[in-house]
Amino acid sequence: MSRVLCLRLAQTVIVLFAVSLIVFVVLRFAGDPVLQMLPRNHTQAQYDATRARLGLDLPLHIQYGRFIVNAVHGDLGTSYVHSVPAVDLILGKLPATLELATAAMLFAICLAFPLGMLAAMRPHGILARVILTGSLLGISMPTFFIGLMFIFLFAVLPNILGVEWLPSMPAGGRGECVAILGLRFSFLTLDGIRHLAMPAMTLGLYYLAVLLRLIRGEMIQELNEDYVRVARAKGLSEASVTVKHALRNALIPVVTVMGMQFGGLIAFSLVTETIFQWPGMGKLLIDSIGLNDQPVVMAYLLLVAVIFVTINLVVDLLYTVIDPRVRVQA
Amino acid sequence: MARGGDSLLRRLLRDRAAFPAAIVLSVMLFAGICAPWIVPQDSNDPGELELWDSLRPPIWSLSDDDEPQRAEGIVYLLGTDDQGRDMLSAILLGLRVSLLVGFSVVAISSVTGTTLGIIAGYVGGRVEMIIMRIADITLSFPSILVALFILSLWKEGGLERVIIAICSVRWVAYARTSRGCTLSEKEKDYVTAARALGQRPIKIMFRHIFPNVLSPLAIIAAVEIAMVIMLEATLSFLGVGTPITEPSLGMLIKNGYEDLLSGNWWITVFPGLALVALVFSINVLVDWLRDTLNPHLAAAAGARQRAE
Repeated sequence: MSRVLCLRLAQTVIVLFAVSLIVFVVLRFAGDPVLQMLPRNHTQAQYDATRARLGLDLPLHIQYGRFIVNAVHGDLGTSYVHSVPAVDLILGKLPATLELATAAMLFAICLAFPLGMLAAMRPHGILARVILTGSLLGISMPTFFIGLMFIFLFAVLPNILGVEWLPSMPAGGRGECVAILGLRFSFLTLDGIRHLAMPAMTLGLYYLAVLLRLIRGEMIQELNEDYVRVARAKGLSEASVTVKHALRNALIPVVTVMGMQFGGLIAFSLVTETIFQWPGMGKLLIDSIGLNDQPVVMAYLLLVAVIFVTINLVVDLLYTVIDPRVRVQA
Repeated sequence: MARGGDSLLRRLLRDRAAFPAAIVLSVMLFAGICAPWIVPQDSNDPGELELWDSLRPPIWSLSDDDEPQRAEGIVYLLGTDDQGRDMLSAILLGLRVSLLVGFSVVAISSVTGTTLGIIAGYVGGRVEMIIMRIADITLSFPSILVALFILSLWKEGGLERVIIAICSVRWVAYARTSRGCTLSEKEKDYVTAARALGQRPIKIMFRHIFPNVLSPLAIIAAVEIAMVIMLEATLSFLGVGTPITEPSLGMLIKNGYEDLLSGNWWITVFPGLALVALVFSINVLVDWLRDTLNPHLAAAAGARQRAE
C-alpha cells in the first residue's frame, strides 16, 4: 500500500510540474501585467523598475526556476492587484467554496439515493418514468440557467406578483456568518442558510440528476443478481434486500462518481458563485482573469489540480474499504 | 440494427418519448440552419434595430395601451430586448451559432481523439505514453476550467477560438475509448492476418481496426454534442465565449441577466428554454438510441458513461 501511495504521489508531482510549466509559459505571453499596474502616463524608468521588482526582466527559464523554488516553499507569488500572497488570497476564499460545494453535494446525495432506489424498484412504473424524465431534464440544463431560473422564481417573481406562497430568498452574498476557528461559515445562522439555499441547489441539481441515474442503473443491475434472489427466497424483507444487500454492491461505482464529481462541483462553483455573488475561489478566479492577475490564476489552477488528484487517490483508496477484493494499482 | 424486420425508423415512430424529441430536434436543426433566411429581422445588425421598440414584452402579454411598434412589418412574437432586438430572430440566429459550435467541435475532436487513440493503442511504446500522459493531464482539470483559461488568454477572433478551445479538452474521451478498443482488437486474428500479408500499419489501423472501434465512439459523440453545446453556452455566459457579433444562446441568456432582475423575464427565459429544449431532445434521443442499438448494455453503463 505505501509503495502504491509513493508512486501515486510521484505521479502527482509530475502532473503539477507539467501543469505549472504550461501555465507559466502561456501566461508570460498573455499580455504585460506591468502595463496594467502602472498609470497610463508612466515613464520608461518606472516601467523598468516595476518590471525588475517583479522579476519579469529575467530570462524565462530563470523566472520559472525562481517560481518553482518559491512554490516548493509554499509561495506562489504575490497578487499583482491585491498585493497579498496569492496562496493566502485563495485559501481565504476556500472555505466559502467548500461550504457551497459540500452543501450542494449533501443536497444531491440526500435526494439521489431515495429517488434512484425508488426508480430502480419498479423500473416500469409511472413514478420511475417521472423520476427518470426529470433527471434527464436536470442533465439537460446548464448550471447557469438553473441558477437564473431559481433567482427568477424565488427572488424576482415573488416581488413582481406580490405573492406570499413562493418563498422569497436572497440571491447574493453569504448572509450572516459565524466564525469557527477563524473561518467564516454561513450554515450556522438562519440568514446564512437562506443565502446558501439557492446557490447550493443550483450547483447540486446537475449532480443530483447524474447520481440518481447512476444509482438507478446500478441498482437495477444488482437487483437482478442471483444473490438477491437468494436473499428474497430466504424471506428477507424487501427493505433489507434492497438496502443491505443490493445497495451495498451498487455503492462502488456510485462512490467513484461521487468523489470525482466533487472536483467538478468545485470547478463548476465558479459559475454559481458568479451568478449569486458568492465570495469564493471561483469568483476570485473570474475576477483575476479579468484583471490579468497572473499569480492568482496560477495558484488557483495548481490548487485545483492538487484537489483533483487528491480526490482521485482518496476514491481509489476507498475502493479497498468498500470492496476488499480490489487492489489499488499505481 | 433491425430486429424481427423492424426498422430503426419504425421503432422511432412508435416510441412515445423519442419520437417527439426527434421532431423537436429536427425543427430546431432546420430553424437553426435556415435562420438567416427565415428570421423576421437581422438582429445582429444594429442598423436594423429600432430603439423605440426596446423592451417590448411577448405579444400575448401586451396590454391595449402599449404603443404600436415602430419597425414596419415585424411582429415581435417573443418581445424585444433593451436594444429593440426581436427575440425570436435573436434566438434562431443564436441557435445556429450554438449548433455550429456543437457539431464542429464534435466532428473535429472525435476525428483527432480517435486518430490519436488508435495510434497510441496500435503503436504503443513511447508514442502511447506521450499521448496518454497528455490525456491524463487534460483530465486532471475540469474541462470548463481549461477552456475558460484558454479563452481568457485568446481574446481576439471569432467562433474558431471557441471551437478550438473546447476541442482541446473534449478529445480525451474518444482517445481513451479508441485506445482501449484498439488494444483488444490488436490481438485478434484479422489484425495478425493483415500484418502477415504485409499491409502497412496505417492501413491496418484505419482500414481494419477503425471500423471495429466505431460503435462505442458513436454513442460518445452523440452524448458529446449535448455536452459541448452546454459547455459553449456556459463559456459564453461567463463572457469568454462567442463574439458579440455572433451571439450564441448562452450569450443571449447572459445579456438578459440584468433585465431578469428588473422583471423583464422574456429576454433570458426564451433563449434559455430554446437551449434546454435542444439539449433535452438530444439527450432523450441518445438514451433511446443506446437502448435500442444495444439492449444488452445495461442502464448502468450508460449512466456511468455520462457521469464521466
